[in-house]
Amino acid sequence: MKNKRGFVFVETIITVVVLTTSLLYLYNSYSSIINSEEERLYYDNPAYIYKTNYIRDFLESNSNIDSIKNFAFANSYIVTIGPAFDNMFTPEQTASGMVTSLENIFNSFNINQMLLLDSSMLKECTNSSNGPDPLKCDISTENLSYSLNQYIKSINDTTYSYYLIIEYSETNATESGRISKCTPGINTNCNTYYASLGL
Amino acid sequence: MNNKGFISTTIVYSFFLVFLLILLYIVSDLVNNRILINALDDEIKNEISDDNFGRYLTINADDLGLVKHDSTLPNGSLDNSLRYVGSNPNNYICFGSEVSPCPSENLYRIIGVFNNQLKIIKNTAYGSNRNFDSLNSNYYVSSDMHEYLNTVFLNSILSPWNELIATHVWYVGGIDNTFTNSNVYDIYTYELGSEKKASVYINAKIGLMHISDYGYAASTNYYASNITGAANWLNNNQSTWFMTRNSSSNDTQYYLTNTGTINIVSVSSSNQVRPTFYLNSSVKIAGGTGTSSDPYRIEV
Repeated sequence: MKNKRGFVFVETIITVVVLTTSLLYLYNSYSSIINSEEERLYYDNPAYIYKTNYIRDFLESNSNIDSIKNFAFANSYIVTIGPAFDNMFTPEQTASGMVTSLENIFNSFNINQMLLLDSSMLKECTNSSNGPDPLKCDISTENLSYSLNQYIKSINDTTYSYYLIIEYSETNATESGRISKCTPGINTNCNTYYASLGL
Repeated sequence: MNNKGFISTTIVYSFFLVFLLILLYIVSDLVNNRILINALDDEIKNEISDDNFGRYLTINADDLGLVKHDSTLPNGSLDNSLRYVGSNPNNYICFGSEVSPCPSENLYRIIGVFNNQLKIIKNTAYGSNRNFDSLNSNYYVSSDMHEYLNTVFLNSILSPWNELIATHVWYVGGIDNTFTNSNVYDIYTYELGSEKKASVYINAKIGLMHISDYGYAASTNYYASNITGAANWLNNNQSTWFMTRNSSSNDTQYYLTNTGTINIVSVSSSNQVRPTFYLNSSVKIAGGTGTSSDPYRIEV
């Protein structure tokens, strides 16, 4: 009599478990890679890090940034700065044309927003707890876009007390290679890039 | 027994398992590459900062012996500053001259990094010993000492060096007379911390060291003990004025004794003056290793 044994139940279970575990690991890793790739493209791209570094040098040498760090963070961990920000420049710096210089930088580099972040927010306003001042945590993020909020959450470095965060908004390059400044949510093909450096 | 089914099934399974292993290898490789690229981005962010003096000290704090005052440091100031500690750290800096070797009158020492600004103190006294105020008042804003530091001393620093000095907020409310035998954490709390007299301050370029600057310059294992001057690079065994007034009186001031302890004395007494100030956060490092013979140099 021929032995017509097929697979027993235990073999089947073991096989299914091994396959399922492997496929779950593959799927998880694949998802992680896709998310990381998107972050790598839009977050801290080296080209924008170098632009941010140039701007940081400009602010440290030609603006009132040290004073801003001392007075602007009473009610919020995040402050939006720019050419029109109060006390961005001393009267001498304004007379030297630094306001216009910063405006030109905004236009040349396609900057949509520039912020200063008090890094204590990264410890005190976590998801699980809003730290010693929940109202300050809420005020800090209430006017920020979703994508900017997500970028700030991705920052996990508290080496420095303050961080300069810049949001660049650019269209895709045209056939002639031209890249233009755009407004996220309004212009089509508008990409937003973020970079931050310690200050 | 039918072996053909067993063999063919085994071959199919083997191919499938090999395919699965290859997929796992590829995905693992991609994950590793992602980790390496993220590390590269972080490296770019750190390397790009090297010429800024404050960020150079921040990034290399561990190698340079700077201690970070965050929540992990017992009895620390919690102001996220980086401070040099111990008997003789390599924190010398040449300020006001590009001559080599650095003249002794231009030799300063770095107390630490505060919000990316270096706080430095003159290595030796400026001028001869002098009183704090000739009118016997310890109110710093109207004192002779404030005038002396921000006119006589400041005017002695020529351009472009004087442009590197930042105007800073100096809290001068002082502490009461119960702190002559206290640990540095308690002193800091009332001097510059949560219990300071926040409404009593002055915006100025030049000041003096606070008691907590002195206390936190000792090795960290001394932070919980009374200040004695042991293992403290700021202790030069000379009687030296502090910025901190004795708020229990109108005519006495805290000072550093020649034995390294802290005490209170009349403002009409004569003590050493060691000017202290903050540098702009834009100051760039030009070289040096921080030793007394090869102090750090600033780019001007």
